[in-house]
Amino acid sequence: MSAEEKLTQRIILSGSVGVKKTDLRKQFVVEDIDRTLEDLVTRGDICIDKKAGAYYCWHREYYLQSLLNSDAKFRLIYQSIKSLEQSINKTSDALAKTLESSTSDIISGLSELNKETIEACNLENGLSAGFTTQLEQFKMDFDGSVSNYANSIGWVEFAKVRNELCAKYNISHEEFYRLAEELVSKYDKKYELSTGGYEGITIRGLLHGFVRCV
Amino acid sequence: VYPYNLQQNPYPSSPTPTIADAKILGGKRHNDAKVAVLSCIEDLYQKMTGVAATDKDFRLVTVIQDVGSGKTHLSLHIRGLKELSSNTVISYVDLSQISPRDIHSLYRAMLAGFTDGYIREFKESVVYFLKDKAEQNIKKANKVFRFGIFDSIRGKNLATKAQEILSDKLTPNCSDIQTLLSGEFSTTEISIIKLILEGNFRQELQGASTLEDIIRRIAAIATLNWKFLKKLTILQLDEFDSDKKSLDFIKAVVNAHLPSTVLMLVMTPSSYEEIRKENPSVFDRLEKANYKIDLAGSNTLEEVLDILLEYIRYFGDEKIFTVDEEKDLRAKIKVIYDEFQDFRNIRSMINILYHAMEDAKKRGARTIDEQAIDNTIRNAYPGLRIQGSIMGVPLSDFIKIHRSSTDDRRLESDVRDAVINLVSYAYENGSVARLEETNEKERSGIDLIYNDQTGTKVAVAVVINKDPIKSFDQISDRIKSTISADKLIILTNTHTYDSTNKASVVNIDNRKMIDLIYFSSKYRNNEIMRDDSQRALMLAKSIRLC
Repeated sequence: MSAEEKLTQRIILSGSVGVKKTDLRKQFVVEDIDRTLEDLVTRGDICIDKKAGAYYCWHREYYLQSLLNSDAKFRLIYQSIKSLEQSINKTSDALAKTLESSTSDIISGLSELNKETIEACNLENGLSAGFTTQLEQFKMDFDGSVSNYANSIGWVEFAKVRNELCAKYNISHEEFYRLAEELVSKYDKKYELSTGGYEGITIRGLLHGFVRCV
Repeated sequence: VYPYNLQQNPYPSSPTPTIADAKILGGKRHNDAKVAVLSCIEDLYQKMTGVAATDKDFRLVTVIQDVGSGKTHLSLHIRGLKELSSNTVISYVDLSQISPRDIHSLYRAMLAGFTDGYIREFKESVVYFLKDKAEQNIKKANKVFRFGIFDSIRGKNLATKAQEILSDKLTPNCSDIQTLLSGEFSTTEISIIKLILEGNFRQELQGASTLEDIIRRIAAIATLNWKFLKKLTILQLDEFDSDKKSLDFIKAVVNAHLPSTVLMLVMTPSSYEEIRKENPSVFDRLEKANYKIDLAGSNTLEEVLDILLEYIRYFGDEKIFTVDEEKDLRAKIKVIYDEFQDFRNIRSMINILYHAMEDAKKRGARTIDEQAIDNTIRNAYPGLRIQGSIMGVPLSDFIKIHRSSTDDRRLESDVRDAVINLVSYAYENGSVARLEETNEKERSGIDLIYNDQTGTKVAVAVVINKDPIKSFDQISDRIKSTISADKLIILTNTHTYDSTNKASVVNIDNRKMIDLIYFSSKYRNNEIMRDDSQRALMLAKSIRLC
């Protein structure tokens, strides 16, 4: 054990009462005890304070207790701070709990919202994609029907196409013309309509009962 | 002075074309159809040269297309072509004006369809033909000219008498014509010659009591046209339909194989279908027409544009109506065509441009500007609105914004500003919370962030005319790594049905973008009225901003 360690051990053994600096000088005959004590103070291992006109040394573990025992003012302040610390701890615990709960709710809510958004988005995309697929399929059959029934210059009555496709798709007249209107509107350069007939698509207030693929 | 320094309004005001209007023929498809008809005539003419007309020289041409597609215009244009005046005689008949229809009214209409110039020319040829006969000392020919001894004393000759007949100062003596021409002409042809000489070509129908008589007379006219004028006879029957009398008449005409004749029947697909049901026999003949003129695509944008611009080109000066002016007008017309389905036909477009020309002239405008078109639409079609426009954008503004939106960068920038302005306006109205200020780094890919009424933090990105998935992914990644938002809205004009789980994709079409830019302009200029306010919030809701 080194001289410094022996010195620290001695101070620890003195507990909250502490040990006089002069006693230490007497007990440890080393070349430069003051320098060793300064090093220990600098490192925060010990505290040196004046008590009853003499300098005492305490280990850091016992210095607080020494102050609480000897200084009523310090003790009161310490107790107040301790109480405040407890109060803060309680509050922060409650706050942490609340925050934890709220965060959980928010995360859960956001997750739900996100899920709903994704579902809505998927649903929308799904419907659109479904409708597109349906229209593309309808187009193929529509074109086929126009091709089958067309006269020498390509014209065909809507009614003939409607008869065939309503039966094939099991859809109403209204549904057929809704799809047909969508089709000729989307592919307006591929179809040509002509007025007349008894049923068809109304444009400019005129019934267009004939169609052909251009 | 009208726009483009025109001295007159180049567009006709009447809903159907007149002969004068039909001088101008624009449109590739219409010109192709014209070439086809001319080719038919030319082909027949080449086969006829130098030989007598026979029943092998008959051609049938059908022109079938929808109402308002320019069939009548094409027919009248062909009738008025100078290049055809030297080798054809054309009778144009509008069957819709003939009622009741019977063989006599149809025949009378056909005769009335020939021009006065043709009748004069025909008469002149006959008179000079007879003069030639008279000069060959054929006595009966002399009698036709009522040439007597007193005429000789007065110094008149056959040429003078022929001129008097042609100027209606002298009525020819036709009593001996039958015997004079009997070896050379049929009885029906001689009776036609008499009617021509007497000036009764169109009026006199005696001797034409049956369909057979009438067909014989029409054939005789065609034969004489070739004999005297060396011209083919073109019979144009417009608005041909399934009327029973008309069908019987046409069937007889087709069966008769009129010599040196082209029969041109103009009808709609609907009429064509009705003819099929009404008279399969006639339908079968029409199906076997020598030429089926098809004006397919007559209402396409390119065709409509070319037809419309041709009017200005015809009357204007290319130094004034320059390529740039033409391009500018094309863009304006395109907007009308795109936005109003009702105007996707040449008849409606001509009407709009007629009024726009008048409006521009009144205001002293040098060109047909947006204001002229806007005023025309408002005055001539007061109930018309741009479909799907929430802000009720006036057509003039619509055209201006639409034309400036061809630059993708500018469009995206304008839409972005408009969305920011719209959310700011929604904030001012209490519909959303204040926009969050974000620094440049955070804003990468995100155009604005705000809290909606439920406290949800919303990030908005505007993606215009870009590869959608790539951009969405990029934006989603950015938002994930740089800022925290509860919801991401991507406003895009790029239609995509591909699912993206990272964001709500709101498709904003052309009309919605124009709505946004129009709102933005009003907002910047503090021109938002009460009505606009409701529309603006509706617009924000429609793109899910609040």
